[in-house]
Amino acid sequence: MAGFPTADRMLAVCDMLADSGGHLDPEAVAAAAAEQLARLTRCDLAVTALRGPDGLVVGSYPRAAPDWLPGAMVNLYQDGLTQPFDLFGPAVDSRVAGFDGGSHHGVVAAIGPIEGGFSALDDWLVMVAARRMQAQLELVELHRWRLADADVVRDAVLAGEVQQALMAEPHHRIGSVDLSASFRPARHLGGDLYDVFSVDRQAVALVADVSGKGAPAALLSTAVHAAGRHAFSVAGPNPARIIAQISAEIETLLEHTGRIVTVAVAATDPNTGTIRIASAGHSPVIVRQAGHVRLIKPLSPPLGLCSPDEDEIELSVHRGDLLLLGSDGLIDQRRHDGTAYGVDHLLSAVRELPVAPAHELLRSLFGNLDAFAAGAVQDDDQTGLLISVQEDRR
Amino acid sequence: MEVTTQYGPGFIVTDLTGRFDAHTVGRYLTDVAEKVDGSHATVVVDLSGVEFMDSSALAALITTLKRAMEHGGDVILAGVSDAARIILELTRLDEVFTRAESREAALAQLKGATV
Repeated sequence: MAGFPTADRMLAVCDMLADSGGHLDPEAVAAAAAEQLARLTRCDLAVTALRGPDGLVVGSYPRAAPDWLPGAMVNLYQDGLTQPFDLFGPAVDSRVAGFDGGSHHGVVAAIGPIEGGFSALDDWLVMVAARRMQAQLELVELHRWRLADADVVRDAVLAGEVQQALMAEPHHRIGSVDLSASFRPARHLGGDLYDVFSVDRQAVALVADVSGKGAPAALLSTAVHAAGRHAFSVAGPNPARIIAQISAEIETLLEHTGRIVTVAVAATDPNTGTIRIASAGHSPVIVRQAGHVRLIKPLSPPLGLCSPDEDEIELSVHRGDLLLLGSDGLIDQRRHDGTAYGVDHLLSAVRELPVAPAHELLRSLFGNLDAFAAGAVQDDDQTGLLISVQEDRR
Repeated sequence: MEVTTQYGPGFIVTDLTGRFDAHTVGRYLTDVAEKVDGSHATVVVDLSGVEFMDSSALAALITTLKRAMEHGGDVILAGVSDAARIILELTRLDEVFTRAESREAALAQLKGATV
């Protein structure tokens, strides 16, 4: 009986349905679909044509389609004309089905003559061929996205290495203090930065945090970094003047990018046994004096709103005292249950630190933070710069 | 974060609920900050439902304040939650923004306010 599927045809259909494809490009998808359609319908010529980001892609089996045909098929389908004889005329028996979705749209055609004429099964096979092409093209697109994504990640990793190299040396002994710093971005690149300068046995430490995350914040942080170095060369070991100078230099940039920057600068003086601190909206700044810890709140708001007042505070420090300039990523780190580390936790951790070189103390602080996080995702950049007073003033 | 916005004569009232951070700030900027103009120069931001704020959120509020001031308006932070209060204090922005106990108190501060 014409159109009744034979057992071997049904088996061939089952094989087609079980085949998952695994093609890596639209050309392979189109070619495989045409061959499968031709074999299953036993039509004279199967043609698949699709249009997408790569332009017009064509498959045909068992021979090449006439040059004009695939483009005409897609154009007619786009115009809503899907009756086969629109393309081939009434003398040619054929079945056509199309698809439109995602980044591709296309048409498949089984062109006769065909022994016994096209049956209901053939109608179904043509429709299924179109749907399967659509699904396989989505997979090809997904595969391309994954490759592009891998490129982006590789770029970010390399950029992150450059950012670490841009930071100052992490460990210093200057005058009567020991300094150690660490920058841990959340995603390869970040908006935190630290810097260390010195003149006449006086150390100047700077920590800054650009709002936002990732590459945009990192790019802006390089401008802040350069402004900080210039500010030190102009203003010397004077924290409030350094911040005012930075503010003037990056004011327009912040206006254009809609971002803010928090900055804290500390200058140590072994002759007076003091540390002067200025902060524009920056926290946490934590001092430990004679075993007592407190948070030093900023005297001015972040840069990006208005020019900062040139205010500083001056602390007397002795051997064993500590100053931590951190970024808010230290406080905001959450553990799995959603609880944040918080200011109080950080204050306790600083209070409990022994008298030791700065790099050991900083490692201990980060260890405490990581133990709290217990593997939870680091959502923000984390920076710490620790100043450990090693000697009383002479 | 959910952002719901209403307009009144000369002002915008917006309710924020959830985490106000780098991931959600885009929506706030489009729906609120960019809507500040001569006809809506003052913004009341209800923060009572905000469970977390980061520097991106602060930058967005500052952008809003600058735009408001350009049009002779202001930003009022209403119902500042504990999470919001802490970060505002840690950055010294608590002294920069006008604050109100609640959205109703903020609206009462605006003359002839009815929403």
